[in-house]
Amino acid sequence: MFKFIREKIGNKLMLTFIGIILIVMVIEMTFRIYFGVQDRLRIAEMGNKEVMDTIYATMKHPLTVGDSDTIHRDLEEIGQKYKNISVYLCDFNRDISFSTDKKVINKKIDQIISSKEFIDSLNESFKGNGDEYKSLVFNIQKRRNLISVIPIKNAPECFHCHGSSRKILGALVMKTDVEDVYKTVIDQRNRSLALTVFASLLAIFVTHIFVTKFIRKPLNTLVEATHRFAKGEMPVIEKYPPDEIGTLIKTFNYMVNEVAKSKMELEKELTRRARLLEERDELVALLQKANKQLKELDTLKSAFIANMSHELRTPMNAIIGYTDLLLDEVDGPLNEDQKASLKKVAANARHLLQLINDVLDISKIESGKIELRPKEVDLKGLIDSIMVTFEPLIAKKGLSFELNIDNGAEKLYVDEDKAKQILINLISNAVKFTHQGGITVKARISERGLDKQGNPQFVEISVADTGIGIKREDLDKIFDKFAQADVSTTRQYEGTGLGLSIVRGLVALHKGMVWAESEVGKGSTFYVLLPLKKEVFDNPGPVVEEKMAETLSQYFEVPKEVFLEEPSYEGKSVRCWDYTQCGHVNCPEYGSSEKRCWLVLGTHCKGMRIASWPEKVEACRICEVVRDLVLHREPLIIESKPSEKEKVVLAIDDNPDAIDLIRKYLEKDYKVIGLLSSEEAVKKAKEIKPVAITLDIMMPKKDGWQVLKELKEDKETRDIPVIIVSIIDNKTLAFSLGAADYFVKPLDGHSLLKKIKSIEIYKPVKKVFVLERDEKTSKDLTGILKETGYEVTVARDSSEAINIVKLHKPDLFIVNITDPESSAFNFLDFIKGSPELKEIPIIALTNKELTDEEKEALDGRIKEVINKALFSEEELISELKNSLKKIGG
Amino acid sequence: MKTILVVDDNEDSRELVKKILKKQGYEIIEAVDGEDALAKAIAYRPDLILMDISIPKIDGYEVTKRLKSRIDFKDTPIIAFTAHAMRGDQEKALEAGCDGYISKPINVREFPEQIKIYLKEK
Repeated sequence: MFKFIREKIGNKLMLTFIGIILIVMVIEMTFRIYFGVQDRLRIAEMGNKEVMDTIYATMKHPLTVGDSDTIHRDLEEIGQKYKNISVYLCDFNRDISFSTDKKVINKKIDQIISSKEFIDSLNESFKGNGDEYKSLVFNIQKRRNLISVIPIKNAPECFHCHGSSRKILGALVMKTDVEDVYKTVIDQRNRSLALTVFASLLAIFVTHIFVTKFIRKPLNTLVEATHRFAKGEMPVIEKYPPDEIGTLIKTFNYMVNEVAKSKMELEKELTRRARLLEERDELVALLQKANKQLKELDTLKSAFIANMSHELRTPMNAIIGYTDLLLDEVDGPLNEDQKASLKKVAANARHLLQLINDVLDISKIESGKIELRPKEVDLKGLIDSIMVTFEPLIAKKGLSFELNIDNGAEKLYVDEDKAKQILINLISNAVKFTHQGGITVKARISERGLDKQGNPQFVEISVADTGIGIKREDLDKIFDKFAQADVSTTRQYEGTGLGLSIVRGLVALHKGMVWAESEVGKGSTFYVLLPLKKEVFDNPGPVVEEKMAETLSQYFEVPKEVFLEEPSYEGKSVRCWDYTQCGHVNCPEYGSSEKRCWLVLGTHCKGMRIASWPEKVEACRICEVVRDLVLHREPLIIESKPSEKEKVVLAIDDNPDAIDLIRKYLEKDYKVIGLLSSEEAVKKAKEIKPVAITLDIMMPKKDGWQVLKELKEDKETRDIPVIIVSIIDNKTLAFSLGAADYFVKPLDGHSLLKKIKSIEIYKPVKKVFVLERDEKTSKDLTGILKETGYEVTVARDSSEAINIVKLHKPDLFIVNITDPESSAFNFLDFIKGSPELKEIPIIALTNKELTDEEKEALDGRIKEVINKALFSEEELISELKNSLKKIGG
Repeated sequence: MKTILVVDDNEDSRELVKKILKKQGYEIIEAVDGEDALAKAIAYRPDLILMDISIPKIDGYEVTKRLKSRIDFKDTPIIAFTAHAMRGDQEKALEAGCDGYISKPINVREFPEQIKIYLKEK
């Protein structure tokens, strides 16, 4: 019921109308009934009084003379005349003496009007109290009667019958039946009720029509339109009333139009994106295809190499075999020269064979064709079997050999052949590169790569020598294919350059690691971690390195769990065991492919290398996932101190790859320092004072606009030209905020380089070189410049000038180009041709307006042109100062 | 006087083996392909067979399998002798029934020793 009302405006209105009608009608009826009755009674009363007075007056005389007949007749007449009136005349004993109703004569009036109240009031009247005339309504036999009483007073003319002691002799009582009066009012009430009902119905009807026409219909239209709108249509309501609902509909239409507009824009944008996506998909498909082809090629390559190796080994078999047979003098004695030559043949053949074997191994490792067959292996036995081969050479070189195996590290769980190969390679290197001292092989339980219960799972084997050592910057190259630390060593120390890459691959297959430490001239130590327990191979993924995680967590200041939680990679869950991308962005060597950095045991950029998965194994990219995890949480800053000499460009972008790209484009001419966190921009810019800044716009936390504003607001940084490099295109805003230029990604690197070269901030000018033939001018200039705090050197013609600048490189040239004697253009050409000098800014002094030809000749080389002819001396000075200011003096 | 059957499609390789083993006093029979090898093995009943794996017509694994399936060759040592040094080749050879594996290039000084061991083991 209430719901029905609550939910419909029409019903609310109706209810209100009906309510109002009812209230009005009730009030009206109350008034009408109450006052209606009152009024009628008053009229009846007045009528009664008139009648009574008349009766009293007419009866006064007959009563006085005792003419009862006249009284009877008069009363009879009255009785006939007024049907609803009965008149009684009673004495003070309340006995009725006369009446319009003859039957009641001699009865007590109490019997006729049996109302105690009436009797009391009658008695009061007899006592002479109260009013002369009284009238009251009483119920008599369930009908309401108006009863009027006039006491009949004693008068002198009556004394003879009644004496004079009584005041009142009786009373004239008139009973008027007023039930009809009430009935009339009730009838009126009923009529009013009917009217009310009718009015209510009318109200309902009218309201309904009104509400339907003016409220419900437009609202329903709106509701329906809204529903359609919600379903994605764009309905506009054409017709609407000029009232508030109309306003609502107009607003709705406005909204629909706006949404439709933005929807259209959105759709455009979506189509654009869809197109981009399609293009991307096409590219991805192409890439995948290329990738597949590469993989196929790779497989082919591996197969080819395997095959080739076989084909190569067959002739090697013959070469080595027959050479050895000859050397054994099977076919007769040889002279010494022949022997020496044959030995060379044999040695080279063996070297070639080793090369073939190594290439084969590498290709097998890379193509993932190696399957380990791990079992328990006795380490001492393994090393002893290896040392058998090396002992003669060690003895020959006079080296010592020491083997220490800690308790618990005696047994490995490895593929015996592979482990042997690993150790052979390491020991043979140690022997090869050591000329005095010795080799120490140690094995101990490693605290790295512990299992979940904290039990060790790996043995750390170190091969230390006292050999020639490896340069710090070479340390991370030695594990690469065909890389011997120093090209010159290759001739001195024969080797294939594949040994350590094989070691790396094999160690990685064992889920271990390999790294090296070295000091040139003192020796090197190579470390490998090899499994101690079968459990290492239980899980197909890499081993979780708790210690590594701890290190990384300290390093990146993120919770350790980041590295321990299982990131997923290409739908497979992976665990990061080694972190080959350490310092990818914030290492001073970042960006130099030769000096990639690695993080081992918290040692940052030590050039140690972790055994990574062979490149062709998908899992080797695991660490990228972790890197992203880290970098995206905690943007890093590339910490590096630019050296005095280099010009620095600060590249601000939250994407390290974007920075990398900019670096690649600019690295020939600038040192690029990348900054991944926009919040540090101003601080960093002050610190490193770059000649220019490249700035990305869409960055988390603080966008590029904000950074640009801050850079331009700060006194120290506002002069650094800022070049926006962004995916969004809003040049207007950028230039209004003070950007020097705007490049939309994808970046055209060559244009960027050109731009930066043309706008970079020049370093402060200290040394000024002046080429001016006119002595007065050069004197003046020197004076001004020295006063302002510059060092000044002066030349009078170009040959003199060239000799001077060869020795003293100034920060600024001031050249008078219009004096033919000084042949300034020769000098300018010389500057242009010198890589050292061509970047130095030039202020040209002229004595006249330049011709177009001259201007063209100067194009791009001159920062400022000052026409001496146009200025007075003072003006010239201030003009020169201005120019210097512009250039950065 | 022990007889050794050398199966190899490469003549130089055969000659080398022959030269080394002749010096040790073995009698050498040569076969150049799988069919030849089967025929000569059955005809000459050698005390040991040196079997190159990649040979024409029938490959060395197959020849070995066929010979090893015969009761009269159960105890004849067949040594795989190949330039394939791929992991799995050795297993394949053993699976096929070879009794040993010598990879090319051979070590002239150790080779006779290896042969001796295989013959002794018999």
